[in-house]
Amino acid sequence: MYTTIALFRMPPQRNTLVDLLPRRSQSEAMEAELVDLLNDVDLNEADRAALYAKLELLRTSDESGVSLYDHLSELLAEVLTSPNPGQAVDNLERISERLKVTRVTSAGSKGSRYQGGVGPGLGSGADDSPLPVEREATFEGEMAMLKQAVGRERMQATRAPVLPASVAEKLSIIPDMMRQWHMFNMAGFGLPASDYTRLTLAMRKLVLDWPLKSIRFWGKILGIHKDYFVMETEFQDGDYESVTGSDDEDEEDNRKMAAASQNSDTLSKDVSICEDDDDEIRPVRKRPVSIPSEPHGTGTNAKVYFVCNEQSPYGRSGFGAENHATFPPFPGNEANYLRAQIARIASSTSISPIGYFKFDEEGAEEEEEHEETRDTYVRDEEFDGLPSRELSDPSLTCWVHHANYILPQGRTVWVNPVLAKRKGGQEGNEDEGEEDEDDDEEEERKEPDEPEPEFPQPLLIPISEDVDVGPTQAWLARLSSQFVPEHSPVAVTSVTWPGAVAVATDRGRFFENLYIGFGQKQLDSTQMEFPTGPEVTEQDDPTPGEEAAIRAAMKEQEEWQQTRGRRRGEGDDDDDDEDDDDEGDDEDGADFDDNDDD
Amino acid sequence: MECEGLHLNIDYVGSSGVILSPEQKAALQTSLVILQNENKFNRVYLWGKILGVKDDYFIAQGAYKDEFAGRKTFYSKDCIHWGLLPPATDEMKKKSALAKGRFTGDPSYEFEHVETKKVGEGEDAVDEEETTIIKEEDRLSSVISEIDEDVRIVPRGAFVQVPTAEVVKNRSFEGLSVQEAAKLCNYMHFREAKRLDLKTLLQRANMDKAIDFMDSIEDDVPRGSWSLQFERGSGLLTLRSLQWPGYVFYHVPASQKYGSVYFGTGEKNLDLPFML
Repeated sequence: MYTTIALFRMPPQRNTLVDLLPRRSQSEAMEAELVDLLNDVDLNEADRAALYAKLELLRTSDESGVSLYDHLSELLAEVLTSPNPGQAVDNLERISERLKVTRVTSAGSKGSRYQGGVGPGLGSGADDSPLPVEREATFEGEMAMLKQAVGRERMQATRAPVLPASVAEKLSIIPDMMRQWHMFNMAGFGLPASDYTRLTLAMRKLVLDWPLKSIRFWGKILGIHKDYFVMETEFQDGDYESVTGSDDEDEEDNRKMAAASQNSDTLSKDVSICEDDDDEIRPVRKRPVSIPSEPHGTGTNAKVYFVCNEQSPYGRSGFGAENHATFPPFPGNEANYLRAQIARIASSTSISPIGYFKFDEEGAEEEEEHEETRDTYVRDEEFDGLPSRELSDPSLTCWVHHANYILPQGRTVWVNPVLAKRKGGQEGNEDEGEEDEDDDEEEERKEPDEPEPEFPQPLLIPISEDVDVGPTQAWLARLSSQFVPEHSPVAVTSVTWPGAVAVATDRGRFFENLYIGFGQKQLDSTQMEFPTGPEVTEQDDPTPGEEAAIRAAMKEQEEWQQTRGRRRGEGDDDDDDEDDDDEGDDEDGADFDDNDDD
Repeated sequence: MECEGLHLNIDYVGSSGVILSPEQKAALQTSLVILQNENKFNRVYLWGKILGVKDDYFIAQGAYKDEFAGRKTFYSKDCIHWGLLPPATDEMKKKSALAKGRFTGDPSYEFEHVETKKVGEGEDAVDEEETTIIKEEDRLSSVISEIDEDVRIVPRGAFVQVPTAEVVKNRSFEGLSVQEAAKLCNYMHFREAKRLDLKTLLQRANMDKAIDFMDSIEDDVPRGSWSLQFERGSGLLTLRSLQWPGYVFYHVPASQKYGSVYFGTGEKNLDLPFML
C-alpha cells in the first residue's frame, strides 16, 4: 500500500479455474430456473428425474444453512486449487471437514446462507456489517487523481509539469503538507505519511474546483461506520452566495444546532436548552424566537468546511444525510451535527503561539465606539519566535486562542432575540451595529424576561484561562523529544476535546492545529449518577411490630405530656380540653403555694 | 501488537491517529528485545500507551507459551526503562474505579477519593469522611487488566486450544477472508470464555472446540459498541472500540497480519449507551 504507484493493481484473489464453477450467489437463481423448467410439461421422465435430483442438491440443510451443491462446489474448488491434486482422494474428508469448520454462520441466524466468492454485493441481512468495497474500484479512482496531478505535459529538462499560470496560482495556497506531516510525526501525532500525500491531492482538486482563498487540513473525525476527513477553507470575498444557496431558515437551523449540540452534552441540570425555549415555558405561549445565524464569512460561518469519507474526494457521502437519534435530541441530520461539532471544536481548540497573530491596528477607532471584541487579526510578520522552553511551559501562557468564542446562543456576536423579534424580524447582519447601540438604550427599559447579554471571551487570550476539566487543566504542553530537546517540536494537547493538538516547531514560527478523534467533548463526569443518601434512598416501611412499639411509645409520651401540662398549667392552645385547662387554673395557685412554702 | 516488525505494523493503525515518533520506534525496537531476553518471554507485545498529564506511560506485555496464563505487564515512561506492574486483584480494581480524572504520569502519585457518609440517626447524624487512597500504579494495573478483559480481541482461528488446555498460536491460520472479516462474529475476546455456557446446545454442537473457546464480540453489550471499517478498499480492516475509546484492532484480510493497540487516556466511556 505504501509502495509506489505501480503496485496499485492487486491480483485477483482466486484462480481463474475456479471462476468456471458457478458462484454460490447464483444458486438461488438456478433453483428458480429449475423450478421453471420443471413446470414445462414436455419433459420426459428421465429429464424430470434429473431435474429433481438437481433440485435436491440445491436444498439447503437446516442446520448449517448450506446446500449440498454449494458445499460440493467449494470442495471441488479447493481440490482443484490445492498444490497436490493427485492426493485429493486421500485428503478429501479432511478438506471437507475443514471447509465445514471454517465456514462461519452468524450466531443469530441459523438459516443464513454463507455467501462465498469474491463478488461484490455481499453482507448477510442478519448483521449490520458494511459492504467491503472492491479494492480495485477505490484504487482506480485514486489512480485517476494521481495521473491528473502529474499532468500530461512535462518539461523535458526538469521533471516539473507545466501548468497554466492561473492553475499554478490557485495551487499556491495549498500549505506545505509534508512539512506538517514531519512535524506531527516527530511529535507523535497525526496520520501516516501516505495519508498526507492523498490529502494534498484532495486539496488540489478542491482548490481547482472552488474559489478558495485559503485551505487547511482541519482533521479527522472518527465515526462508527465511516470516518470524516475535514478541510477548512475560506472562500474569496463575495463568493458565498454562489456556493451555498441556502435560505434563512437553513441558517437559523444551523445556529440553533450549534447551540443545541453545545448543550446536548452538558449535564441535564441545565435549565434551558436554547435561548428561545424560554418563551415556550411561559404560560402565555409565544412563538419561539429563532436566532438569526451569522452571515457567511463572519463569525462562526467564517470558514467553509469540506468533508469526505474516503481518502479520495468523492464528495460528501450518503451517511451525512441520515438522521440519528441522540439524547438529548438534536434537530437536524448528521451533516448538521457534524458541522456544529466542527464549529465548536475549531472555536475551542484553534490556538497559536502568542505573538504569531496580532490585532489589526487600523481598526482602532471603531473599537472605541463599541466595546465589542476585536475580531480581526493579522499575522505578525516580525514574529521572532519563542524558545521551546517557554512554549512548553505547563502554565500555558504562551499560547493564545485565535478563533472566535461561541456563545451559548450559538453565535459569536451576541444578538438579543427579543429585540430582533420586536423589530419585526429583520435581517440580523445589517443591523447588528444598530442593535448593539439599541441594546445599551434598552437596558434601562429591560423587561424581566429579557435574556442576559452574553459576552464572549476576547480574542487572543492565553489558553491558561480555559476552564479546567475536573482536576486537570484544560491543556497540556509537552516537549516531544527526550533525546534532542533543542530541535524538538512542542505539542499542546487539549483535555476538553481529546484528540485536538497544536504542534509548533522552529521556535513557534511554524505551527499547526489538528484534530483526530471522535468529536466528543470530555465532560467532568458522566451523566450524573443519582446521589444516594439517607434522604434520597427509599426508607423501608416499618414492620407491624415496629409500628406497634412506636404507637405504644407515642401514647406513653402523650400521657406524660398531659400530666406535665396539668401540673404546670400552661395554656395549650391545641389539643387539651377545657377541663384540663380549668383544672390547670385551679391547681395553679395550689402549686405556687406549695412552692412558696418550700 | 507484536514487537517484531513493530515499526512497520504501526502504520496499519495510523488511520486512527496512532503514531509513534521515530525516536520512540528506535527506542522500542531495542528495549523490547532486551526485555524479551531478560525475562525469557515467548513473545512480547507493545500493548499501547496511556496518556497522562505530565507524562505518558508505554505499556508492554510479555507472554509465555500459554498465552492466557502468566502474562506480565511492564510500563515505561521513556521506552527504555521498563518497570514491572503488580497484577491486578479484584480489590484493586474496585478501588481504582473510584479514582477519577486522568493519570498524572507519576507512578507513585496517590489518588484520594473522599466519600462522606452519614453516621448516626436523625438529628445526631455526623458527616464522616472516608478517604480511600489509590496508588497510581495500582490504578494503572487495574485499567490495563480491565481493558484486556473488555476489549482485547483476536480473529477467530488465530489461536487454538490444545487438549492440554493451553492456548497457543495457530500456525496454520491464514487470516480471515474479506467476507468473513466483515462479520463481527469472527472476532473473539482474548480471555477466558464467559458467555459460552449461555449458548444453546445446538450452537455448541456446530462449534469447533479447538477454535471456538472464546466469546465472540457479536454479543457485546451495548450493541454497536464496535466500529468496523474497511480501508484501502478491502485491504485493511480496522475495529475500534467505542467502550474504551483509543483501542484499535487491525487485520489485513487473507493474511496473517493482525494486532491491536490502545492509545488513550485510560478512561472508560460510560456514556456509551446514551451516545448510540
